[in-house]
Amino acid sequence: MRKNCIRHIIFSVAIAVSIFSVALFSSCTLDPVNPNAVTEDKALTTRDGIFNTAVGLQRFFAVDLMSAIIRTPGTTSRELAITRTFINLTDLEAGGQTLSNENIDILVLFQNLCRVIEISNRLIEATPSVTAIPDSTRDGIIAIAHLHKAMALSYFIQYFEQAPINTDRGERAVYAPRAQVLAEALRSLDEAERRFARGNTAQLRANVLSSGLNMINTIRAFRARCHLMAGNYQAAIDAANSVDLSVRSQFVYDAVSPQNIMWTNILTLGAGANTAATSYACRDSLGLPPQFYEPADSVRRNFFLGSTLRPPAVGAAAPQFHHRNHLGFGALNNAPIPIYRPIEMILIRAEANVRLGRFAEAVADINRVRQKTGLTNLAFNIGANPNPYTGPQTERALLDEIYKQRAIELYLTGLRMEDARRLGIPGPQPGQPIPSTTRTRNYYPYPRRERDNNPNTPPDPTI
Amino acid sequence: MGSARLDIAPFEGFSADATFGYDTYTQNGTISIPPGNTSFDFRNGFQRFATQSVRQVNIDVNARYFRELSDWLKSTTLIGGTLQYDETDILGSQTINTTPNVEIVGGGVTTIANETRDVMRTIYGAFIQQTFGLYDRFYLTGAIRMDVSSVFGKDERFQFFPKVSASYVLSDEAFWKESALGNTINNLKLRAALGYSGGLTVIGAFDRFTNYAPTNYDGKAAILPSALLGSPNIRPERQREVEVGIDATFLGDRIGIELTYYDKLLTDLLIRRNVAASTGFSQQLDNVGTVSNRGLEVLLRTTPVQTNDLRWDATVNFFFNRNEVVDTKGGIIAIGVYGFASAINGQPLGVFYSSAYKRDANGNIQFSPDGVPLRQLNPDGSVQLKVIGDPNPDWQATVINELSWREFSFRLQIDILQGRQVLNFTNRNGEQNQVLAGYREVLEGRRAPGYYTNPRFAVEPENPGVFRIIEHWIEDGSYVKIREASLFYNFSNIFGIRSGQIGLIGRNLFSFDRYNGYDPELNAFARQGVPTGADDTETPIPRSLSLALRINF
Repeated sequence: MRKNCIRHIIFSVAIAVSIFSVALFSSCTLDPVNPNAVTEDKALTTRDGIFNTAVGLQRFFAVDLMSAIIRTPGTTSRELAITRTFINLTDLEAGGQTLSNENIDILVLFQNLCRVIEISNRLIEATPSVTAIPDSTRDGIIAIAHLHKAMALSYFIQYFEQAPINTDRGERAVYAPRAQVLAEALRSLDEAERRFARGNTAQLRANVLSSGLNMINTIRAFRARCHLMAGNYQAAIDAANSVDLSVRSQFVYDAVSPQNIMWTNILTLGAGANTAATSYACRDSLGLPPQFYEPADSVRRNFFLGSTLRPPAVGAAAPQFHHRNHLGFGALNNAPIPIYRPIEMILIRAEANVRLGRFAEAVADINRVRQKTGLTNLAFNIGANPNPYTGPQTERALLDEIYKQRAIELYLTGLRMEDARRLGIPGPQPGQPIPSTTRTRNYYPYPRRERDNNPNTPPDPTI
Repeated sequence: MGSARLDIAPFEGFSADATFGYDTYTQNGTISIPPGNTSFDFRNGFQRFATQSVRQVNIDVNARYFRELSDWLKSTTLIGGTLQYDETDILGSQTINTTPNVEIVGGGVTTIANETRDVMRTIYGAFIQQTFGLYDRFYLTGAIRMDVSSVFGKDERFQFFPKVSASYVLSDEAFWKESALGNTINNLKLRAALGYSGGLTVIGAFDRFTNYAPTNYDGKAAILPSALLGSPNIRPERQREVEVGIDATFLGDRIGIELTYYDKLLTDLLIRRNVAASTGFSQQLDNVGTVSNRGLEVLLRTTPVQTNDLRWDATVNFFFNRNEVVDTKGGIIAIGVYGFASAINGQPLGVFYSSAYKRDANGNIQFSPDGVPLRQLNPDGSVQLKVIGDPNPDWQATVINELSWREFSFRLQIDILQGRQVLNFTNRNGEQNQVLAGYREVLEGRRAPGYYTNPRFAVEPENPGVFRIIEHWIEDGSYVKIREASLFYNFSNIFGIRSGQIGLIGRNLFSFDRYNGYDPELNAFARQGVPTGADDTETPIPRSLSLALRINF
């Protein structure tokens, strides 16, 4: 009987072993290669992986991030009206203290900014060791990554009081205050300019660099913008003067994918498919209050606005809430969108001069912006107002005028929330109704999933 | 497509079989909306064609060995192995702005999306099970199962699942048979089991990696990291189950009862959780918690009437389950239903966690002067979130009555589900968007204009309108349903027909519930393992009446 038992066990083991042998040596591998996507390891260690990730970074910025930057702060600063009844959009438009940290549009904005920082950092870290790429081209790729990181940081700090300078997969990203974030952005811009001087190779232009992106002028334009935001006025003037105003640096789109993000998202009547299926429309008078509305500005307004006037979808039809279709830089599905509008350099100079007490120089620049005199080669020229500035030459009046000019010239660039705060335009008050031409938030709350998972998340602003 | 099976029995007590199966199929789907329709998004037409092709290989090998080791000890050994391999390719293409009278995607002005996928999974399994039977009434079984799945990383891929069970047929003991009890209780079996199990296919083939998906920009090839952060060390969920039960029959098998109590503990709950956005990602697969399920199942079968002509069988199946989440990671985890269903420590899995009514100390809902319910705020003015409903039922039962009288047979099935709450998105969105009857009360002036959405809610945060008070849309989803009623007439040897049956079957005939939507049983977010009862413009389960005729020649 004992013998039987042993035979029994031996037999069982033999069958088990044979089944495993068949299983383990068969062709059905346990580590299949994914044919749909590249693993991170391959993306960050091979020549093609680095090239393609750097192209992906530029696409992500031009499509996903710019779309969030134009739509969400554009709604909060009253440039855009909401035409649909989705709760996230109507909540965003209403703004105020109750704007929830669960609002999906704020999450998308925050997340896309973080994703640009993450992809840029990966490229900055990984590219130096991929020796299959020549030294000079590697510098060019790192320059592109630094520029995109700097641009993301400069936008981040316009919408949130603090920003994570670096992403952290361990969910413990550390936040830095405004001055530190801008200093980091400026460091990245310097690094980008230094590296691009060696890295602008034919290989980079053929495989990586977008045909629309002019690196040197974009780096300098963002340097001017960051210095102005940081309060370094002379440095802002110097940087603004170093930008060639005739150069077009632009996000490019095509008719199939990716399409122009304004054309896709904002009511653009008479342009093919996206005739009505959008959640956003332009506000008549560009969302400016009556005291900033000049009838003589019809040329510049009509650059952006179509002729169709529509009452809002829901609610009382106060004139400020009438909608117009959008033309501007989104009239065609393959039209490019400026990465920065060169006229901003003159506005930066004017503002810095006001802050430095040089009012006469500021007025001269304001009139250059209004009348476009002496700016024959200006890229992305949207037209002129025939009349010069006639208001008082006080700091307050000039800052108001600069805000008005920025609101028109830089309509739908995502800059207005920051502009209004920086230029001292009155904002929303806690517990008070918000007028229909006032921005509805000063800063956004940090998204709930950030607060739930990262203990370093700073406290939310009151409004 | 086909399978082959080999059976051998080379000597007494031993048999083995091997099954090799190969299956391949293709599914095609087309959507064709001609231009000039009244839809909002696709007024210029929409064409889509998608095809999915699936290949599956299954190999199954089993062997059994039975032996009487002595006159009181019997042994059965089972050993087996399986291999599953599946591979799916999907290709979809769609276009808008189509050419009239043309249904192909290529006839569109812009082709929007192309998608190809090639997803493969390999799963191996092997088990050995040993059963000993003692004196034909005491049975002891032990088993070990090993599974290997390609969807998990190398270190977590091999999983062992042991199991033991025992049963004792008390009624086979001589003392029982001879006792008076033995005449009443004809059959009595006690059973108990302890086992481990796990799910090896709950995630996609490459979900554990940080994948960079292909795209393009400016005519150049591009890749971008997906929003799902890789998690190479995730483990399969593992469940420990303890089960005890009694099976008994009474009065010459006229009454049968089966009682089972179970206690399941699912550890390493595997879900896609939201991660801090400052990671640069949006979600990550993670083992985030433990779920406990305890419950009782009762099956009662009776035959109250049994004569030559008439037979009445009644079956009652009653079950309840208590579910609790413990030991979660990262606070409250949103697990579905637009983030309203959550995993919260100490609460059942999938409770609704969101904004609630403002209530006084006695729990009465507070209203604005014009009769609109108010929302509860925190002292700092933000919206208070709390548990406002539980989609897990208190108990469920199925009652089946079968009557047969001569050539007629009648069957009635009633399903009962009590103590479950449903989040009614259909009414919430429909009434807000003024397309359901609820909005009529606002139009007719019986409710305040701001009842659904208060236009001043930004400055009156306590009174946003019920659209923004999620508790308002939580409803009692309990029901009693007449699931099926059927009447058949059986006939034989008529008009050359050997036998036949004609009858009427009604399904989902009536539902007794207090639910305001169409059907409290709907679940728009059905997903394995996570109860997420929510109704969101789903098609209700249809009531059907069918006539059946069966003929055998």
